[in-house]
Amino acid sequence: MPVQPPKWAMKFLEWTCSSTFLDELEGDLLELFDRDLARFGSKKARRRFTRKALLSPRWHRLPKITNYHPVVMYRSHFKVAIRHALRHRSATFIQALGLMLGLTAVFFIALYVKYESGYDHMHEKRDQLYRVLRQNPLDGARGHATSSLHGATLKEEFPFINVCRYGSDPVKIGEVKPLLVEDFYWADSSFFQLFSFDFIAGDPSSCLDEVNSLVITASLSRQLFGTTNSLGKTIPVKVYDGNQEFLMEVKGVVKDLPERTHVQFAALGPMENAEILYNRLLQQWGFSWLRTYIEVPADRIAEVKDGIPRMLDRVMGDDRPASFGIDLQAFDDVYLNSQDIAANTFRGDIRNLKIFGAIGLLILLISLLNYVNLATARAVTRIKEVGVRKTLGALPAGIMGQFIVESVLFTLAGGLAAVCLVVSGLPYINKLLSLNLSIDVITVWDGVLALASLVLLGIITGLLPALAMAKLPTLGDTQAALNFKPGQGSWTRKAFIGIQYFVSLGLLVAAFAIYNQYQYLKNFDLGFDSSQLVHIPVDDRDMQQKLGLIKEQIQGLPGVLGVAATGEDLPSDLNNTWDVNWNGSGRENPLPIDIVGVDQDYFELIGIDFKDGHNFRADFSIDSARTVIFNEEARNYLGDQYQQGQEVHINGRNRKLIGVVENHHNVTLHSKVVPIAYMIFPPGFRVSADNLLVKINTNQVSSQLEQLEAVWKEFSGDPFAYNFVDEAFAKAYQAEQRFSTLVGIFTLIAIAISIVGLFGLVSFTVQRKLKEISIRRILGATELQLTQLLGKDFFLVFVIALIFALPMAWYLVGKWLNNFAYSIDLSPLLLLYAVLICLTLSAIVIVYHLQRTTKINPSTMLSSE
Amino acid sequence: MKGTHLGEFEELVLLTVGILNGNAYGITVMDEIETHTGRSASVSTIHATLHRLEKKGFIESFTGGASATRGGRSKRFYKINQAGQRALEKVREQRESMWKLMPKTSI
Repeated sequence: MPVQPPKWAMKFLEWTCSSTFLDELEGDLLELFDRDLARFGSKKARRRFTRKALLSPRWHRLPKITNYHPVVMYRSHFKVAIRHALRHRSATFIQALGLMLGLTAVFFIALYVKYESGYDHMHEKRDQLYRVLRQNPLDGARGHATSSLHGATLKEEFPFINVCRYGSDPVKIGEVKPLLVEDFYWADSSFFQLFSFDFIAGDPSSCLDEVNSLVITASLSRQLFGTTNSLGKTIPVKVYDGNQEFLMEVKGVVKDLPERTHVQFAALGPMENAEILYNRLLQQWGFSWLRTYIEVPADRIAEVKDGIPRMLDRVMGDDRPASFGIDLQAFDDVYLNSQDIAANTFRGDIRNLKIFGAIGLLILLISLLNYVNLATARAVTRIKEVGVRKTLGALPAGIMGQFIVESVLFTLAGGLAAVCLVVSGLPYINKLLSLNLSIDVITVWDGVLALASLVLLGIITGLLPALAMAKLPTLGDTQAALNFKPGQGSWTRKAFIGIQYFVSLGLLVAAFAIYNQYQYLKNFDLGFDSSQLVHIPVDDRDMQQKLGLIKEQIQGLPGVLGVAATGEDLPSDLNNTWDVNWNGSGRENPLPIDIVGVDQDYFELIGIDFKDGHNFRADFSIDSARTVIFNEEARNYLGDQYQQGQEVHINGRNRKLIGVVENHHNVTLHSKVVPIAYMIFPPGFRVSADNLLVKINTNQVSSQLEQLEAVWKEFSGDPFAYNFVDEAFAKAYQAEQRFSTLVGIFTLIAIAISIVGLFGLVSFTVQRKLKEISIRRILGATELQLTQLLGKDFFLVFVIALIFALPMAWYLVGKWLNNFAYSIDLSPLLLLYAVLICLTLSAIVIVYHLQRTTKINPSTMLSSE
Repeated sequence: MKGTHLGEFEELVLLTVGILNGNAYGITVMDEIETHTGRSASVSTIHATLHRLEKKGFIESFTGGASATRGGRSKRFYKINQAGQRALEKVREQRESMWKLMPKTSI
């Protein structure tokens, strides 16, 4: 057998050289091979051949991809799609509008969800961090304020965990013009080991080790020192509740904190200083002023959780109150899953996110259905075009390709428009909802994902009209082809409209209910008169000493209807929970009770009535140090044993219970009323009065405020700060307001989409039935009858949608309302309103189209037969 | 027109095609060049240059001469045409006129 060059080398040649040049190349190489055989022998000849073959590919000789006969003629379809769109602008616009609205809503929701779920991602150790909560085993209620002992005991019991506690303590920093810093916290030195923050200067692991160390944010540094280069500088820090001043040294400067973490601070000081200040208090389980976090290695968390009961037994034994318990909350849950934790106001709500997600999907669904409906309807008008294409040899795949390309084009264009809308509208939306969304949250990956999804959506939505068109009977039977009306009164289209009605009705009901609930919360009778009430915080210890004087001055102002001092503002943060017990209670362990420091004018000022007993008799007298007033909830503790004037023990001290006042909501309606003990405290304590409440005659608000400010200035050089109590309460419902607004907006969008869809569909139906309509008109049909004719089909669909939507909406909204301690009763009127609105809008659309057809002369219409 | 300049190697190959007078194809051009200049170009390089010259319009090709040695594949012959002839002459004239301007003294 004659020696041959290697087969695979020959194959390589065939692969890499196009047929035009292949013969030449192969032939020449084979000739050379022959020569080499004679000169060098077979082995070397084969090697040389291989070498030449491998080096032979040349750019101009590469084989062209000749199998590329796309059935889908992308470029042509693209052009045709655009021409079609431009030729029927109004129809195109309607179709695109619905899609665009839907996509805008979806993009916005995606942005919102992404933003809200990205909280606290910056902390590297988040998987191992847990927040320690107080939990009452009796009713499961949780609170996020813990005592110093919580963290210390946990560390003792489980030496392998890392603990960090931090608690707030407003301070004034600086000498010449002290700056009030409310977000100042005392923190354990482990703070920066648990939480990850970016440092500009200083060492994270040791900056809080020594007493009198100060860690500040960059902006605070600039405010205090004019620069961020403040490491090593010392500055006096005056503490209020502790009434002491420290000279602290800047040991760390941190980059300004990002929005999206619930661990926020303006400045930190070491826990050692707090121990100097509050030594006695820090030894009490009841003094809950801190937040506690622990870091537990992932494999030992079960060990810790199981060991907590044992720990509590060891430490507290039988003295443990039945209401005392500890719970561990995963760090990642803190922002989104703390709805039940009283006074935890800086949070989002994962339930809301889920609801929005669901709404987003619904809106997407109806806008897609919308689009498909309209697209199919329009496709019907192109039967002739499709017929011609088929005649000329278009394959079914080609026809489908055309419509799918058109559909993808639409979705991409709609997506682009939606993105533009969202981006440009973001500042307004942020303002409206007091949010801080920004595009930065979106990554490139998200963009790619979105693009791919849009294309996919385009393909899916294009599929229906594409298939319908591709299946058209071809020209063998022209007459049949022209008479072919796919989807004439088809149930798919009706079903789509039905779904749109379903969603719209449901959303309308929900939106009404949610709005009502929000209004209800806002206007709820809090049990006291919160109108015209100005709240002035008095944070300076010196001023607090003179509170009596200040009160007198303010009282003297014209238009001031009353003044009182209190230790808590309204709404209050409930930062002070002590315990109460009494002789004969039969309890070993005291019950928790919240403390509010007041003066004798307090109850009258805010309009609370006494259910029993009487008010305090005079400020700061011996009497007041030994008396206490309960609210009804607290009085219920005593039950039958209650006696006016009896002795109770608050934190171990005896007090005479001289009166009971009616319950009022001093916190927001997120939580029920708690038992409260009102007492008068002399200045200088954590619970002493540090707020003034002034009831003013609001006819001349600004001049009143000026006068108040003038009094303030006599006593202090600090800026005069105030707020209105009813506004403060309303602000607390910001989350609910936001929710209500958002749901309202989305409902509007859903309805808009449905209307658009209905509009297009009715327009199409009217066009088809033009002849019928004009004939009937000639025969004397009234507008009403014509409306009924057109609306008949839609009405039936509407009723079916109604039957499904209303009960479901009722049920779901009811479930949502149960989340609130106080909620409205769902009224069937809401359902009625929803139904009426949908019906009216639909009727308007139909009538509008009918009106347009009256312009057409019936005879011109009929003559086109 | 752009692309009608003759590269050095192109000129060589074009000359060779002229010399071979109708018998020029990959192998013969390759051998001829080696004989006259001692340069051993690969056959694919020769092919590339031939195709380029054909594209520029200086040579024309025709097929023929299938043989058993070539496994039954035909050869592609190249022949110089008028344009190619003129191009070569033009280059030669240009070189000669420039040579004449060289000073006699050799360095």
